[in-house]
Amino acid sequence: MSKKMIVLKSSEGVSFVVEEAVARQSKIISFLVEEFPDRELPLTNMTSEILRKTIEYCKKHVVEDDGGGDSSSSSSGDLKEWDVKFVAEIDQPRLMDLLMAANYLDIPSLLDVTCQKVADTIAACNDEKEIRATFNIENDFTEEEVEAIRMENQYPI
Amino acid sequence: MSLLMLKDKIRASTVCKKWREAAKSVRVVHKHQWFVSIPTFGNSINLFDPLERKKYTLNLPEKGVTDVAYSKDGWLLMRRSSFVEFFFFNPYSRELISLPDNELPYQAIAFSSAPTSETCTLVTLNRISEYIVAISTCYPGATEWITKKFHCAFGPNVHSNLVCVNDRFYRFTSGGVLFEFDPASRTLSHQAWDDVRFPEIHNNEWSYLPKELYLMEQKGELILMYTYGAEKPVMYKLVSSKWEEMSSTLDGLTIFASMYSSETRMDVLGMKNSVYFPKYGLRNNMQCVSYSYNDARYYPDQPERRLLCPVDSLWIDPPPFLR
Repeated sequence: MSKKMIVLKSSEGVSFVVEEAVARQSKIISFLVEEFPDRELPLTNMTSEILRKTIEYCKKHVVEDDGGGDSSSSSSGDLKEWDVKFVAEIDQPRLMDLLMAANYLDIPSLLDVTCQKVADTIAACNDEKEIRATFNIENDFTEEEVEAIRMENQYPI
Repeated sequence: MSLLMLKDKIRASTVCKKWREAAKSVRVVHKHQWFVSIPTFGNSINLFDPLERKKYTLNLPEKGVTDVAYSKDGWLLMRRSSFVEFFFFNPYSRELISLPDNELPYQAIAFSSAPTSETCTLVTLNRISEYIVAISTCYPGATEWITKKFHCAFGPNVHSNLVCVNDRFYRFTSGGVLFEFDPASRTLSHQAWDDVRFPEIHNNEWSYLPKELYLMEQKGELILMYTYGAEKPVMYKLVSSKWEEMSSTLDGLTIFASMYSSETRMDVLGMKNSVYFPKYGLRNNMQCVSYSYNDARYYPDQPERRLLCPVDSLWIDPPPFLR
């Protein structure tokens, strides 16, 4: 039986042909496939690079129902290890894009691993200046406001 | 934000205004209480976050503090080694409010609200003899304690802690008697029930098993909890002058129980339908002793002949950031 394929199109107009089971891990795509079968799905807010990464993740996590027996493509322990490696290899700006993609496409497991990686990155910073530098955030607090927040949260760290 | 540890969350909230709002939005998951204990030696107290399983040590501004007597609204009532000097201490703002000396011993003590509020009242209860009880009251800023004696039979029962509900102080005894003290009029009254007498309490066969009564408030109503050895804690609620046994699931309630003061909270994430005690299980992996009504068992182990509440520990509101 040939597998049903669907086409996803990135913001640059590049088409990706994906197995339906792979793409259906996104709840949004799952919904769209049912509403608009046999249609190319344009994902205008996603670059080819991020879309490729997202598909790579979904391919690894796909569970094939029709395989029979040991249907999962990987054991859960291996999969966790793979996830860690997967997010570790991505640089900071792309990680944020991937997180946004997981959020937009509604892929809970990918959102979890990317959020965890961001949380770990924040936790690894020594102070708020390092956090701002890492995430490229502008400080919009005045010195007094920062002091006020610190006062508010005085407690043994 | 919810994935971050407390320290990192506070740091993240100083990054920019958007992050500060984001940090605020996840606070709601952290409404659970922390517990405080005072090590025997040294000049510090320990704060424990039972969900994160983290311990924070905090130096005390005063030397020679012996014990912590009560806790409410983020404030601790503490005592210096002379045993007669009381003071309020807020471990987060580090404010300290002194009180006049009280030389009378006491069996129970409580205060009504934060000492910075205008209505704050302190009450101690001292059973002088079988038929006489002395009740002392004090206010922050007062120069002395005022003591009044009452003729009343507290009996050799097991007693609950003192608790303040709607400006009245209450104490329950295992004989089924609820005492009510009104500090405004300095009057003591009591009411007895036959159906909430606890037979095991008077049963000498199992006399070595610890039995405790805890009295607490939930939304202006009194809740009574009774623990006996490793049995399931039994909960009653006083509804229109009648003690009703509470539903076996607690309906989403969490009890933070201690010998001095107990708190109730609704819908605490990860802690619903449970009673938490301010101590760690035997395995010492920073897991609090608790009883889950969902699973009908204690965690992490079944308690044996030990007290569920250590004498030097009680619950406190978490830091303001997490409330």
